[in-house]
Amino acid sequence: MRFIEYSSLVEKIKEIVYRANFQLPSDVKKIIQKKRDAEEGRNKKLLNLIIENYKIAEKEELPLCQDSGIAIFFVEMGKKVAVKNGSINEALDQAVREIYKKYSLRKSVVSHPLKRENTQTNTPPIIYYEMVEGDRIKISFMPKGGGSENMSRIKMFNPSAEEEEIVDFIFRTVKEAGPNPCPPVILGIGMGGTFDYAPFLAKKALLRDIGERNKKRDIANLENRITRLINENSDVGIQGLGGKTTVLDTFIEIYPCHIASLPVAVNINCHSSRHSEVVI
Amino acid sequence: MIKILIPDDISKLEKLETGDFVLLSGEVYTARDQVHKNLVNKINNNEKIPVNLKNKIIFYAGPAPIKKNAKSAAIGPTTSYRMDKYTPDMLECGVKGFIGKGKRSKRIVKLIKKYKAVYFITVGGIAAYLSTKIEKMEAIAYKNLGPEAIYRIKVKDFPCIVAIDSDGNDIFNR
Repeated sequence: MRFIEYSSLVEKIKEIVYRANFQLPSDVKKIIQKKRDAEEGRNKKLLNLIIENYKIAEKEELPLCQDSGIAIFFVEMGKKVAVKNGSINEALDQAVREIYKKYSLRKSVVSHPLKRENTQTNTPPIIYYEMVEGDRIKISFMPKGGGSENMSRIKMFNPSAEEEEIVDFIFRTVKEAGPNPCPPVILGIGMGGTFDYAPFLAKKALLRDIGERNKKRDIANLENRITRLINENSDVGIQGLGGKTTVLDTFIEIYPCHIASLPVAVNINCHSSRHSEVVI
Repeated sequence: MIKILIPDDISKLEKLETGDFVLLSGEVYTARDQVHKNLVNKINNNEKIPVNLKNKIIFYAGPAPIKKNAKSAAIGPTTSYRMDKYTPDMLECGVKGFIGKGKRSKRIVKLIKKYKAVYFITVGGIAAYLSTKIEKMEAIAYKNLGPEAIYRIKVKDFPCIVAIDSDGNDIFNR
C-alpha cells in the first residue's frame, strides 16, 4: 500500500481547481480559434471576444466566467493507495473552499434546494469515485455552470428505439436550449446504464479532449454525425444568434443496460469548457 | 456601433433596433432569481421595495466577489428566461431595459413593446473581458444573498446587442 500525505494531496487538488477556473484547456482554445478563422461578420466578432476573454483571464487572474460553477470531481482511486492523516473527501472540500476564497471566485452553492441559503464556500462539491487498479489517484475537476446544466436532458427510450429517434432527441435538446447554455457548446452523451448512470456517463464524457473519439468505431461515427448534423441544420449558432457554429464536439459514452430500457442523457457544456486533471 | 449613455440617453432606448450593436455606459443594476422573487413578493403585498426602478436598466447577473482594492469583478449575463415570471412587475415599476442572455417568452416580447422598453443580450462566458468594461460596482441591497445581491454598476462601453426592440422585434424569432 502506498500512502499519500493529506496536506500534499490538498495542494495538488488546489492546483487543478485554480487552473480550471483561470486557464481554458488548450484543445478548447484551438477549436475556438479554428472556428473564428472560418467565421465572418458578427460571429467572428463574438468568437474574438471569447478569445480575448481567455487571454485576459490567464494574464489578469480573472475567472473565465463569473459562474465558477458547482465543483465536480471525478476520482479514480487506485486499490493500492490510501490517504494518511485525513480523507480524500475532506481534501477535495478544503481545496475548493480555499481556492474559491483566495481568488475571489463566486460562491454558487446553496445548502438547501428550497430554502436556498448560500453556503459561502462553494462547497460541498459533487464527487464521483471509481476504484481502479494500481497505486495512483487520478482526480479530474470540472466547475460546471448553471446555464448549461439547466438545459441538459434525459430520456428513457424504448429498447426498440431506432438510432434516428435518439439522434432526433439530441438535436431537439440543443435546438430547444437555443442561446441559453452559451453556445457554441460541447455535448456529453451517456447511453445505456440506468436512469442515474446515463447522466453520470454524459458528464464524464465532457472530460475528454476536443477531437478525442470513442474507441468503438460505430460510436465514434455517431459522435461525428451528431456534431455535423446539429451544426448544419439547427441554426442555433454562437450565443443563439444563428449560423453553423453550434457544437464544438460531441462525446458519447456507452454502457450495458437492461433488456427493457435505453436511457439517453445529454449533458451540455458551454464554450467555456473548463476542466483540469492531476495524477498523484 | 451605437453609444448609449444612461441616464442621459434613456429616451433613445426605444429608438434602438433589434440587431444593433450597442456600447452602453452609465448605471445599471444587477438582479437575478432571488431578488426578483423577493421584490415581486413585496410589490404584491404593497410593501416598499428597497430600490427605485423607474427608468433603470436591470442586468441579470451575479458577479464574483470584488477583490481587495479592485474596482470591478468578473461578471456576465445569466439566462434571462428564469426572470420572465417577474418581468411584468419590473416593467410596471418603470424598468426601461434588461441585459441578459437567451430568449424571452412571447408574453415578455409583447410587454417590452407595450412599455417601449428594450432587451439587450451580451456574451455569456466572457466575464474576465466584461469586467474590464466596469468602472465601479457596489452591493446596495440584499447583501445577505452574496452574488445574488443588487449591485449598482457603472459600466463604460459595455458591449450589448439589441435582442428585443420597442417594436417587439425578437432576434431569436427567425
